[in-house]
Amino acid sequence: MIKNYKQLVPRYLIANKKTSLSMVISILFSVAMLVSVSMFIGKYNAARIEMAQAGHGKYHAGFSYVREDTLGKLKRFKGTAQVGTTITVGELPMGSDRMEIKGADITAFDLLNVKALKGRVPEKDDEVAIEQWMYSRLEKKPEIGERFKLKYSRLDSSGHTLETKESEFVFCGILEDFEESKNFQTGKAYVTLDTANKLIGKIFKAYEQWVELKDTMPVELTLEDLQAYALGKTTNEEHIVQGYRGNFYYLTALEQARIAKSITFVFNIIVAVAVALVIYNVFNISVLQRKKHYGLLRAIGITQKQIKLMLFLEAFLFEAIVVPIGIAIGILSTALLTRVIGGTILKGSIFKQITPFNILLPVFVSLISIAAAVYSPAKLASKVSAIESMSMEGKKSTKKLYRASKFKIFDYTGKMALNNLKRYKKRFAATVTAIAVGIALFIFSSYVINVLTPASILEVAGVRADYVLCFSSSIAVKCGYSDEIINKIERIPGVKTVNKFKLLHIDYMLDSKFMTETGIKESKKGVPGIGCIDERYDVVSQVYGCSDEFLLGLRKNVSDSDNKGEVFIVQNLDYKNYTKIKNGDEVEMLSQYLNGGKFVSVDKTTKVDYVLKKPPFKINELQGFIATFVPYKFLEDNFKVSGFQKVEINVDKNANLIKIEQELKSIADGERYGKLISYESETQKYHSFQQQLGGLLMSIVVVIIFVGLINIMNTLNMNIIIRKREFGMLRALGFTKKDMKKTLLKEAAIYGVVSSIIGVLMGYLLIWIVYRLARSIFNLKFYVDIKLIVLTFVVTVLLGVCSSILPLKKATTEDIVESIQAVE
Amino acid sequence: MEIMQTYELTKVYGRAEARVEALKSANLTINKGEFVAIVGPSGSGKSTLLHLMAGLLNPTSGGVLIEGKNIYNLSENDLSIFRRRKIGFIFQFFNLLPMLSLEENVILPALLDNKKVDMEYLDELLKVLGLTDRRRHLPGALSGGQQQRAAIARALFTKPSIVFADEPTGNLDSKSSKEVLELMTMSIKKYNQTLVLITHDMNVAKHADRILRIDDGIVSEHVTSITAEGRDIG
Repeated sequence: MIKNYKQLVPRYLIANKKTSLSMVISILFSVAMLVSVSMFIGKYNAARIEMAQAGHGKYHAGFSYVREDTLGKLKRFKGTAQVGTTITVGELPMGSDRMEIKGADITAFDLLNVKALKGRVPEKDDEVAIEQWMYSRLEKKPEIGERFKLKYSRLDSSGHTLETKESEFVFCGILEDFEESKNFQTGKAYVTLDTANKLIGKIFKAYEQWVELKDTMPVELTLEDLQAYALGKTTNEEHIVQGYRGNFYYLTALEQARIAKSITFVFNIIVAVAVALVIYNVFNISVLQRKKHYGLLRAIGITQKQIKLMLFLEAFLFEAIVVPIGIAIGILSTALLTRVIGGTILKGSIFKQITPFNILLPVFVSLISIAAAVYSPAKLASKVSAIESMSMEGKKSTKKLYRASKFKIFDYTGKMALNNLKRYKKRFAATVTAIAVGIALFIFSSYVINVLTPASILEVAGVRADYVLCFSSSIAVKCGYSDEIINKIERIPGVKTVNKFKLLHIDYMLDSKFMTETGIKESKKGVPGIGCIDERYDVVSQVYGCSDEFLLGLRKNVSDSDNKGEVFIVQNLDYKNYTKIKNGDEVEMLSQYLNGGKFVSVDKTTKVDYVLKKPPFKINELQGFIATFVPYKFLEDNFKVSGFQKVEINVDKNANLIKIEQELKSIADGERYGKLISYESETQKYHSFQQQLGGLLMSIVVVIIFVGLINIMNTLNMNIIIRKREFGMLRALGFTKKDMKKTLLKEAAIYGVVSSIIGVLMGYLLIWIVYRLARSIFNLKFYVDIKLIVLTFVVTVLLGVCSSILPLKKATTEDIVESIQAVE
Repeated sequence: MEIMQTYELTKVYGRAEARVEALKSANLTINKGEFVAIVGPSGSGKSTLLHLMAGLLNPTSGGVLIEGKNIYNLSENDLSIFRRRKIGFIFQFFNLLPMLSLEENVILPALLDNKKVDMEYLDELLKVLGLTDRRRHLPGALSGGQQQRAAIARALFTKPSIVFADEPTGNLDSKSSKEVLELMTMSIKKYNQTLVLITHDMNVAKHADRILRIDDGIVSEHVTSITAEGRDIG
């Protein structure tokens, strides 16, 4: 026997198992999905940054020529999280490359991502660890713990050789190869900073320092301040550094992650709204079903406060029991899904994504939803008179319902359906919105899957032919496929076309007259690809040395087809607005190339013959904001670019592709840093990524739509219960079961149609937002897929109609007399 | 001694063309221990009058005094507590909570008061109403007569000053009706309670000490003629 009126709450829930179960399932699924989405989003963002850190370290900026007496200055900067210090001890030749011996402290090892494959990084005096590719070139390869000698040239602070020295070291580890080492033809051997100081002795030392900024500071602004601080512009101290270098790839990854985070935050909010609506609806329906009981309790003498207490107790039970279970299910299902989908982005532990945000968000969302769902009926139940509460039909609307003449296409069942939906506007709105969100996410997911095709990703990566021969190093200008090799390629049976390009990275050194205001502002922020040195603006560009036919093609696209110009540029790539170079402007190009491990600078002032409106092919944003197209001879004569750095080869599909690939591979292997990219293999790799992403997105969409359909079912059920007497009376008057079915099916169909309209509009709004934010990173195009819209409508309406099957059965099998009477 | 009085009690529903005066300035007095029946045709305002007297409906104007207190001057909270302690209500359609057993439904008003349940009184009440062996059954397992008796027990459990009954036998067969009526009259006499009952059935009304008539919202004393037993039935 109950001892307290509050025990009515669990009694009710147990007595109405179906409703309670439906509520539990809806809340569990919704909360689990919200947790899951948050964790996946967190994992995706973390993975992007991890990948950038793994390849390029996790420092934001590097400074060179830091004096010993100012080593502590960068640590004192307000935005600094940590500072690592390195110094060059000396170098020794290793074939056509060099090995630098550098001293580093523990922080530098961390920031530069120095990791040991075998053994460890140096910790004690005289210990040394060497990059694997350098280690493999040592004549005598020491074992871990073994003492050995290295002969090297000691350098001064300007890099000039002071003396040749031999020192003894203890070998402590083989290091992972650094991506940049091979590009710069300079491998690394690390000792501790103390060892380095000892080896260098008492001469003037110029250190390098690597700065990681605090997480809480905005990167761009802080870098700008950091530069000004380091260069002495904000203090009275003499400037302490000469060289500043942003960690380009890491900063770019951070920028991309920031954009991805904005997009995924919007996604998270949308899913949270859908979840909130579902929870609100199921709870609201459950409470409204008990309106009559609350009326009876009021007649017996329950107070408003007691009713509210009971309802909030019920809300608390769900929040305290169901929500934590939902969170646990969300975490476990995410872990399981991660294992099943796998792939590059989702590898590693997903449990690191169990953050306070990911746990508190569903708690907060469910709390607000349940409270909102309970508040309104609680207020109503406690304010409306007891007798009115006991009337299940509730307050009758005094507003005019739809006039019959407005909807001539509907018969009376259709008009009834419309009128019924208008009567329960709030419930209709909540249900429709929840499903519309699911549809919007479906439309969005379909778009993402369709645009992130291997073809579009490869286009951004510059893979536009069946095979591409290129180089893994972009710095060594001596790398190039010779004319002889090109001829050899053209003679391979099955090769159809060969397009060859010379490539060179340059910096345009521009006066302010060539810069827009935005460009000038951005150049001072440390944004990758654009900078400012002594009031001259440095804008990175990729130069393409092209064939005459290619340039002829470009000329045909310009309005002045008599133009015999040689230098074509496309500016403001990546939808930026940094430069305003015009036809005929004279600009300075600056480049550097490595020659035997040393940088050689070249600059050339040239006239820009024509500024193209758009590039002839998609150019990766990492190549810079300006693309330049010139004849081969321009690069050969002015920048000593020999050979071809990129060769695009198309083949006859019926030819022996295996043999062709083998021959091209051997050509690539025969060139230092040579690389062969196969469109087919890359397609398969990205296809796998596309499948993983598609699988993940669609899983989320399926759950949302499934919960949305339970919502329709609940809502229709509720509408039937409320109108039980009405239906009974109509049937007694001659309304057939078929008429009832038609009415209810039309109601369900209306849910489907309205949800689809709102969902499609929301979906395309979301696509538009993402397109504007991320179009440059992912080569996105905005388009409307009519077939998809039609399919969405049809499927949603059908699913809505299917959701009405059970409520329909309930409505048409009730005994007429029982329906008319007021029964429990 | 007066236990209840209404003055100028009026209830109007709707507006303009849809305006309906369900009750027009009802002035009546009920004494303690009286059994008053209110009769009238359908739509005359019987239920409206009863609901207003029990504090279940807000009047358009006028008031109701129970034990000297104007119940419509009380706050919503105080009115609920007053209803719980001083008023018992029996509905036509029983209105038991389906998930509580018979005895749990009976003690519900006491639970709302956070009071300790008087088990002895409960046992006695159930015995008087013939419900002892059905006390642990859910309403779904009870007959119509048993459910109504349970509703009566609930109305009487807090020993209210006044009991209102809205067509308590309207949903019962003749045998159950007779049983329920006998039990109601016996209980109120035993516990010295006042009963106000509305009915359209003169056979039920004839058991009352006094009959009031309501026609088109106007209340009047019912004029009766004398029977062989000395009782006027009109």
